Amino acid sequence: MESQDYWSDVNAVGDYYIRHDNVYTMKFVRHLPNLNSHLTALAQYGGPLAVFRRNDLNEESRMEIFNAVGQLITEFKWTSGNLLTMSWSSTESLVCVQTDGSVLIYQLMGGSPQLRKFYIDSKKTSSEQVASAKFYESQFGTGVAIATSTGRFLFLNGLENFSPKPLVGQEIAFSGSAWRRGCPGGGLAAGPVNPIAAAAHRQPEQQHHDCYAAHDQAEHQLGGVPGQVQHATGQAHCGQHQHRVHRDNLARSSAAVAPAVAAVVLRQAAAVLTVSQLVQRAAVLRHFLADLDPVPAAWCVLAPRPSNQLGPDQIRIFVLSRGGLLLLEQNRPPASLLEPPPAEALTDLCLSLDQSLLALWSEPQRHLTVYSLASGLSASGLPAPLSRHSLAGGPDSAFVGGDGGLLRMAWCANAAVMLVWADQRCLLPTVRSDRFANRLDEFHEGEGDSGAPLLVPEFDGLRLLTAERHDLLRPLPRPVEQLFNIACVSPATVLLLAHDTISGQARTETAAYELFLTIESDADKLAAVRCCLEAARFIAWPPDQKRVLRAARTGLALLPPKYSREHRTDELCQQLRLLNNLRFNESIGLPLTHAQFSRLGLGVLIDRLLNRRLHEFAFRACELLRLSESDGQARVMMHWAECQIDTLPPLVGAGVDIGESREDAQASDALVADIVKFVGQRPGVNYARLAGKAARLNRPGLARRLLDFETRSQDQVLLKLHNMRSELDLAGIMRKQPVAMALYQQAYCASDPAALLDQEDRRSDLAALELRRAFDSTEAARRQELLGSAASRFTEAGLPALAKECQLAAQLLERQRKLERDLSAQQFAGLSLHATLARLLGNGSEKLAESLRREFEVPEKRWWQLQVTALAKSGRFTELRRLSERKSPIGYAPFVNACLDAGNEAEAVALLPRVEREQRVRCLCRLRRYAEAIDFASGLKTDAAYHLEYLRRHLAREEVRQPGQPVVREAAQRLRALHQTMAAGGGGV
Amino acid sequence: MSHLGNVGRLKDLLCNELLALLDSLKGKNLLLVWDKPLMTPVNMVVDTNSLKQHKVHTMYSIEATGSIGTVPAECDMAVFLVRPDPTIIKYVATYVNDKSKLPTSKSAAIVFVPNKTIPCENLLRELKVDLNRVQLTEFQLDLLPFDNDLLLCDWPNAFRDYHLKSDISSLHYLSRAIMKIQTVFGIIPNIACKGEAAKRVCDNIIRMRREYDLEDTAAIAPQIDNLIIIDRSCDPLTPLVPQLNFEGLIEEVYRPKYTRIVVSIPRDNDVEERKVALNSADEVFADLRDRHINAIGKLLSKFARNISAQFDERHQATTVAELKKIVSKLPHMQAAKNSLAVFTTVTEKVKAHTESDEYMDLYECQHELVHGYETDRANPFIESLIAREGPLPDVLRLICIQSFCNGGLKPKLAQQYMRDIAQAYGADKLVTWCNLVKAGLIAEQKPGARNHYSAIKTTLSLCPEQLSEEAPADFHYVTSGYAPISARLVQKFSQPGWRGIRDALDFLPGGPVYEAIQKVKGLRQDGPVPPVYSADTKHNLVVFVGGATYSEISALRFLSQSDDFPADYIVLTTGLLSSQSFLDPFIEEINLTNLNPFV
Repeated sequence: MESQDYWSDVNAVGDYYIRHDNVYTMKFVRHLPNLNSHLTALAQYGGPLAVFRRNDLNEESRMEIFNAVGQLITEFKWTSGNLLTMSWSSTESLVCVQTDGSVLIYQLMGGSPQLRKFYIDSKKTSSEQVASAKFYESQFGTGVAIATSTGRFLFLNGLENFSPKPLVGQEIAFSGSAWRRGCPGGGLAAGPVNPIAAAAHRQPEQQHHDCYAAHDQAEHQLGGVPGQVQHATGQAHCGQHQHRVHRDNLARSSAAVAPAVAAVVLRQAAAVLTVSQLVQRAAVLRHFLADLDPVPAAWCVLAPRPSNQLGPDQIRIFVLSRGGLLLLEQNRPPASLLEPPPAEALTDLCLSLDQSLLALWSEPQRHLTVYSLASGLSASGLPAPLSRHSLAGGPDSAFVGGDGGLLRMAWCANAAVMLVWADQRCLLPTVRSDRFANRLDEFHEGEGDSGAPLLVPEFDGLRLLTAERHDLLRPLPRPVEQLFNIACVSPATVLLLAHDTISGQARTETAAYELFLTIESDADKLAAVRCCLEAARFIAWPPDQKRVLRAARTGLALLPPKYSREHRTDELCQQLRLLNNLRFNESIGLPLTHAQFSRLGLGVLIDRLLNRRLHEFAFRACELLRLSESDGQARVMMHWAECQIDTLPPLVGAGVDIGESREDAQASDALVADIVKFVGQRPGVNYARLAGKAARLNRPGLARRLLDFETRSQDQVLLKLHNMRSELDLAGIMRKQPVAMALYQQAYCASDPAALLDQEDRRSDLAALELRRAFDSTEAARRQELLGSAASRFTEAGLPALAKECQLAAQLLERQRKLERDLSAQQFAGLSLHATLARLLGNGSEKLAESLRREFEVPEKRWWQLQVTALAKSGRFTELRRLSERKSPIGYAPFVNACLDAGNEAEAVALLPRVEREQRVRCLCRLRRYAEAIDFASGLKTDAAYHLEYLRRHLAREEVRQPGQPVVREAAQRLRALHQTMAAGGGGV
Repeated sequence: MSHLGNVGRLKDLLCNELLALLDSLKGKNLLLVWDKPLMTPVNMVVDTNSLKQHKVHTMYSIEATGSIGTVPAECDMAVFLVRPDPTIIKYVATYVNDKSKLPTSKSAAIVFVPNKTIPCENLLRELKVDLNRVQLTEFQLDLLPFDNDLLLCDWPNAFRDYHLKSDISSLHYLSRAIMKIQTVFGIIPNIACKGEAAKRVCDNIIRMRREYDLEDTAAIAPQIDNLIIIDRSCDPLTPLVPQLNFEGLIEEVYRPKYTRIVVSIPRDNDVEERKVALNSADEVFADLRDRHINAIGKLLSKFARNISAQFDERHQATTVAELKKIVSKLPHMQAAKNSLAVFTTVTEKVKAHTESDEYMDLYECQHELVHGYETDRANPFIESLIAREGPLPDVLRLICIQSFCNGGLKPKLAQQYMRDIAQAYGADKLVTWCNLVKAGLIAEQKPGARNHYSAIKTTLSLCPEQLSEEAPADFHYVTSGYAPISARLVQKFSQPGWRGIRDALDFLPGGPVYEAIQKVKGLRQDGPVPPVYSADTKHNLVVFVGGATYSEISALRFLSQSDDFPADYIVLTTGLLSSQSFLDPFIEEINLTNLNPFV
């Protein structure tokens, strides 16, 4: 790892240079002699390692999860059934498949698993088990496909989504076969092979639809083969296999066409049966299949990706069976992909991560053949092989591989294929190369017997893990190769050299300068800078990173400033700093390359850190890389808070909704205080979500407390409503929330206000409501009654004055009803006291009025005013005159006004002398006796100015209202003249 | 009064919101159906031409009577611009469900102004409206730009609803309006509020800011310094006192709808009805609006002289150049002449109102009360007014004034007034009395409580001695002698600050004083530089929760013109009040049904 000999760890494989980095020396505390003796799963992207220790005689089975450097993250007892295989999903959940078809999904930190299930224990047989399982990455997430011991394939796309209809147990239905194996009698291979319906293998009552579809298809594809295939299970005798074909099934085809064709048909059917469920239904066919593999030798899954247009309920499967290669697909006949069939028996296959390359291995011929799938799959089979390597010995092979069977096989970023035997490893290039046909690589470096490594393909390389070492093989990108290749002198190399010269001890600036001079054009300089930046991304060792980064900066300094703006190195530096921290901090142990980090994205990386509960580190990472508040720190905080809620000790109290024990309340309070202290009120923090979580964990008290901190009122209310158990509870909580209560009451008031107000004990409102209802009632007796109850309500509400008024109103109504009875044909009920009195006075029933007035204690002044108005209005001027002869407490102006209102000017004039001085001018004005008014006003000793001003305004108004009245005009002129003389005379009276 | 000057940007914001909404609809040619009362307010922000440019093909309006016709053939979508009002919704639902009116090939959209409500949605569902075909959306018309310095969040009954029904919806809309202002003018750093409802609005906007997460978008430098929120219940006195500034009197007399009034101008032997929009665009009105009514006459005659002088100039014009200059001025002169005619008529009518005997008597009484003379005993004028069965609103208004100026009525006095009213006007008026008590407009003095009004009056100098109607030195001219408390509070906020008048603030009813600071983070360096913001003049947004009077607005305009303290004020209010309209919502009209069916 010394910077000087970077190239020494690089191997040329084919056209690629593959760099070998030792990522870690493993730090397993408990000694793991050989990972190969346990069931293991290592995640991509430097993820965790799961080791399953199957129970030895007296020990329990345990699952242990380590990080990439071998430190234990978590471990737990295995209590479930028989674990078959496991893998990590794209979200770093451990997916375990049991032989009974259960899929257990564990979070990284353990806990109780999610369970999904493949329903394979079909009705009749319970012997069916999962034989093998494959995991794949699709656009819908991590998927699982299984092959059962009876040869069925089932799959589940998008494991972690709660897909509305999980595809568990859905069978791959294919209706015909086109498979031929390289067996004796393969002479039939010539010409297109027509599929025939596999419908024969299905129970008609179960699969009518499929049958018809299959028949149509079969018939269509048979072309010249006449005949109608009927549904039935059948047996076939034909060809060298001497099996009987059921007459009803394939009679027509066997009869009408040459027996050879029938043999094809049969074999096709047989091939189907290896992967169909129908085996169990036809005993003869089962026997027939006995000499085929019940389970395919090897298979892999072509997952749905945007590039291959497979839907969420579709996958394709490559199956090796009996040395041939089949493609299985939903609703299509299986297609044989190798035409003509290869001479050797294929035993293993491996698909590259991007699904563009397929490697096939044959044993014992020891041939590796690589096919490109980039141009898509066609029914006619695979294109010509991209390369073919033989390890069987020969002039161009220096290597024959390890002893025994091939153990593992994996792609190293489309550049090479790694083959692992128990004692040997071999890296073979993808494309056949004359120079490096195949190359041996000793990765052990003599470090003892750690066994064959686990292989994990990454998109930019290949991880190798043994109990001692964690290594990474990566093909060098072109710029890096240019920078370091010994045989190459590129501008980048010169730049690096010049930089080394400056920073070296010799400090020979001149030499450096001369070196710089050799890079002539700006384009070259730029290329050199870019090359160095690219190298910095690739290099895993910090001192080397620093070196090339400094070189890049030096190069940028030589360029015009606009380039330094374009090539910001600070962001890259921060990212590398983060990655180095992730890798070299062994308690984290997350060795990501920069390319992997870029592909993963910071968001996902933060998620992974959160999965490991590394909240503080994640928080700092967000800060370092300036992730926006809501994507970064707030999310970390939210996760932290959720973890806090998750890890709460169980409830002490009864755990019932409202009855929360004191200890629980204290615990909740403390937790909420903690959360609020750390999380605070930053944007992106969603207390409603936390409250929802608490509510799901059946901690309503905690949920309620958390909800109080939610800013989004809508979330708050919805969740609150959701948590309401009963109407009672609702009202109880609402009473503490005045705003909500007001709104609720408003909504409720429309239907039954009284009940609500009664319930809420709002007595004064209730009393007012009663009062309103009293006046709404159309019946006097009812109104009287309601007024009485309103009075008692007001008393209850502590408003005696209003209560008294209600009583008086009721009393008045009583009197009015009596009056109505006494003075028939007159209406009184509903009138005000004034109106009642006025009506009585108008009728001449002064006595009645007087007694009523006394009963209701109408004050003197008001009584007088009332009398004056009522008498004038009803035209009783004699009575009015009689009244005016008494001493009036309200003066006599009201008399004049009342007469004028009633239109009796003469009476008004008669009363005028009795009007007191202050009111006289006004009354004169009303009588339009302006001259008199002016004389009177100017003759006044006091307040003359006030009255004159009144006159002026009055006249001005009259002029506007009725222009051209001579009386008004003359008076106005006189007044103006008077004003002038007064002004001349020295400031008024 | 405001030099911020770009209230127009708020208008653009609202206008664009509506146009974008129309653009987002599926239809290519739209039939726009108006809920009639919405026409004026919506037209204040969007003109018909822009609507036509944004796919609107034809427009109908829903009248009280009669039904609207079918969707024209050219239109493929009917858009209903409606209030969330059940009767209107029912109407729309019937229309939409009627295949003959809206063929199945055409779709519809209902645009709720200002808000979609859950009851309305439920109603639509009940009426079996196919919500797949009928799109529901809303146009949040939270504020109407009345003038450069006056914004309205149209909730005329906000004060009543809040105090009687505890209905806080108006506060929500008001907060939303303030948020809108903040999106245009930036976050307002200082908030001061007085009163419970004001505090609620303040809490709302702080909360909304968190909810909307404006941190990231707050790139606009703050252009308004202070947000002063005043709850009407802290100053119920001002709307009770009749206004005497010109615009206030127009409000009292004409009751304009969305600043528009109809003036009947006598012309020859005929009367011409003219619709006039009252805003600062009219030069004459801009000059008159804030003056005392007694100063208007002289101003009008000055205007008249000016115009006639300008008209006379044409006789003296000798050269073509001079003539051309005069001709170019003609339209302007004509407009001035027209508005002069209008406002002369208006002045006459307004003066007739203020100079009537009844008005003068009321004025005198309320003048005495506001000055705090003998407020603790029964007021003889009020008593005689009741005895004469004078207008009840006036009676109640005077009682409310007396109650405020006496720090509550003595229980005995309250009971006397209550009985007088019940006996003179009928016991059903007790309901109104209860309403006023509940709203705190009539209060009963607690035993042993002190009357703080005189302290308030002195601290805030509500009734300064000197009064000039034509060249006022202080804004108490707006009511001839009483300076609105709210305007004083705003004035004192700028100078010397509310801390200096803490006692008076605490004595005022309505609730707590609360001041908050909104931090303005994340201001981009390269963000737009505020165009008019200067350190010298402080810009203030004054929000009246529960309505404002023109007397207050004129007082604030007076303040911003005075040189003492450079400050600008924009007013946002839930409604425009007059002494008449303030109490109206509390006076409950109970249908007094005939109790004797045989008569």
